[in-house]
Amino acid sequence: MKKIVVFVNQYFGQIGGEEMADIVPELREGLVGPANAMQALLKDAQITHTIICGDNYMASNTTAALDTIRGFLEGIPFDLLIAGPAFNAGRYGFSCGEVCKLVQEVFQRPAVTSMCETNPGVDLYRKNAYVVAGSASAAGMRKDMPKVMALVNKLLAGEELLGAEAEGYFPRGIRKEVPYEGGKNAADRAVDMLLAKLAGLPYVSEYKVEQEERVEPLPPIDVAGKRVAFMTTSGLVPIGNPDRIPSGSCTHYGKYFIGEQDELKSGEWISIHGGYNVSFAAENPMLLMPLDALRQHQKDGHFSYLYPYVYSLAGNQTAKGDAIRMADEILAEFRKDGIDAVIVGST
Amino acid sequence: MKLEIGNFSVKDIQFGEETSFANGVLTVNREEAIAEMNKEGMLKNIALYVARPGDSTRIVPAKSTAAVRYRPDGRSAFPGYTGSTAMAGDGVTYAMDGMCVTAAGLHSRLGMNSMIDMSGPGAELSPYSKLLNLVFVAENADPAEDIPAMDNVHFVKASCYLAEYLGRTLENQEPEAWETYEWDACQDNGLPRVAFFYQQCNIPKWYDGTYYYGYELNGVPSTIVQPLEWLDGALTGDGGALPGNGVRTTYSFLTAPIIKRLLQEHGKTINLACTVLVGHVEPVDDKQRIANAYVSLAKTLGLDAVIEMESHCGNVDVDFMMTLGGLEREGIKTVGIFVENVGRDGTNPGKTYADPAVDALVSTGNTCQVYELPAMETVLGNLDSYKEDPYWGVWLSDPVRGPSLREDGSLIVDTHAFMEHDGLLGTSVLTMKDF
Repeated sequence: MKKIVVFVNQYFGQIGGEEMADIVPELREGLVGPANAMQALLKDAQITHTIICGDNYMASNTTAALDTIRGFLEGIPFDLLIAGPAFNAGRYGFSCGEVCKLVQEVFQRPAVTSMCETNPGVDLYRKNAYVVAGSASAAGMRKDMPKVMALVNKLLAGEELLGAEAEGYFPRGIRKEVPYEGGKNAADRAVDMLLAKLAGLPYVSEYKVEQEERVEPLPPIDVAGKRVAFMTTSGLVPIGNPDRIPSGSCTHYGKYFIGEQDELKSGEWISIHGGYNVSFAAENPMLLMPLDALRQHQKDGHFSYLYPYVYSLAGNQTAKGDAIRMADEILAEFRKDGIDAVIVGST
Repeated sequence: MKLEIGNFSVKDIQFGEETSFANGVLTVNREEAIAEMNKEGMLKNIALYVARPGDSTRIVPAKSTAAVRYRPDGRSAFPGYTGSTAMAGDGVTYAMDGMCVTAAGLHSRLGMNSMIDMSGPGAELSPYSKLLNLVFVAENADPAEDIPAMDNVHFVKASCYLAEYLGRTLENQEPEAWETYEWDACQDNGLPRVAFFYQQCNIPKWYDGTYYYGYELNGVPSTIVQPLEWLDGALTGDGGALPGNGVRTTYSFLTAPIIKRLLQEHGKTINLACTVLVGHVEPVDDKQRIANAYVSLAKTLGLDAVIEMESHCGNVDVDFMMTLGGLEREGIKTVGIFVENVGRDGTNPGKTYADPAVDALVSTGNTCQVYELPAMETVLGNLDSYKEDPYWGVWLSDPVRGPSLREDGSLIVDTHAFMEHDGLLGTSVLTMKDF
């Protein structure tokens, strides 16, 4: 039988109201508060424990609270955690979100919570948990609970989910391809969408243009006397592509020796990038890594040392998760070799 | 202009003494067919096979497909490409329905080849899995052409020669069913003026892109094409400028659902002004220039609305979005058809660039969704090329998933691997959902 842990705050943990919001995390065996209603709706699973933590304590001592809860969870076998529901309560939403994030990131197990769409916790944590859309207050508990538990039962059974909208949770920042309902092809969908738009009738776009995450460039740094490395997402590889770096969707990268060379020669380097015309790069590989210019800067004393290797991959269509992992791996090597600054060449 | 397509339904393909078509069965004389398709002598070691829907068969590397056409008036099926140049889009053409000619090879030197599975989960991921495939497997005659820019060029042309040769079996036969399309440029019929913008991948000096009456369009910013020309052989297939999931083949030009649907609406709900083959450019400053040029073209044509198909994804997102956004700001309503690029884990932004004015998009799936596929009894081509050659959507190593090709012949690949998986000319029955 699958085992579940429930997380609630001091109020739903039946310890007290605002006056008890500073209590430290506490682990209880069995069911407390909403866990009773949850257990009644579980198909083939048992809630074994309830964790209770004061909202204020979590807000002002987040690290300590999470360390304690992590300690509790390390001692309990469990398959899934349910937090809340937090309704429209801001601090409670934060607590539930943080605990869910801990469970998914550290314990690699699913975590389910529920919040009202106006709870700030929705946008903060929907990528870290299944946040089921819920009511604004506890008055909606009876209505919300079946939705939450239907999802929990599906996750425990390993059933395929039908998507955020169908399952009633906020999108987790993951998109997948699925058959279009009714099998309508893209030609008919496009023309029907246009006819609706021309007639001023409602239509549903299959993709919503949203503001994406942006990385703000850091302020410039002075590299005089510093150790500098160069890496590139241009697909630069020695001729023959010895590491079989793919032309896109890379999950590995190459590390190539430059040594004391002053330039990259045509005929020795190519690009295997699948997203641009690489014939220019074959004619002049220094379009991808300007080694001659780097050496000149080094001679002019703008920095003291150039790392004798170049890290390279084709940057197109790399999954964000793979990109972060490979960046961490490369960074660890740079740190080990005492590199102070890195120039990243794109295409 | 009036194009009448006389359809012949093909129920089976077999090999025999005389190349002929009777009672729904296409019989092919192998030697003659090979000689006809290779009349320029550019290929060698050619072998012909039949792959039927439901067969335990995998075609890899698949390079292109063509549809069988025959013009009873003697005009070439692909004017300017396989025969002398003539205008397409008017008159009578015969078509074999339910089958395609498929070009396959032994290697993938440009990484942009793909796979067709005739059964199993992969059969849901390519439009060609549903058709009878007459497959030829070949190699370039000249090893000097085993380079990325030339790898697929002769295969595309041979597929058209073969399709044209097979079409001649329809001479003096009576079609089973007719499709009729009528279109004339019309200045004002009181209906909204609509154009279809088809974005090609036509980067100058790169792989061969789309051919227009045999003219290779790389570097040409825009070409106006009359809608009926699409269905009558004016456009022939990409030589491999895009990953296999985004290749546009001769078959898909000849059968494009988006063109057929727009023609059906012409005169009823819209005034279909024309179609435009648009392109894209690489330098970022030029992207705004070319998007402005397309907005200018739309205004000059007096358009009320545009449906634009994006060629693939990546840097072309910028040209695509800038064009749609620019059109919207000029009061020209738009719908975009595109494929998302959310990565194998589904967490990347679907587009690398987006314009907030763009508010009507049809999404045909994910370029890199991961699928596991069983081994097949028959491989037409060379499955070991997955170990030797570059391919989109196929990998030699992955820290979590292991290599794409497993010892037992089963596969784990992403959607780049399936021929024309994105179905952007309208065949796609997939969309994207948030999870």
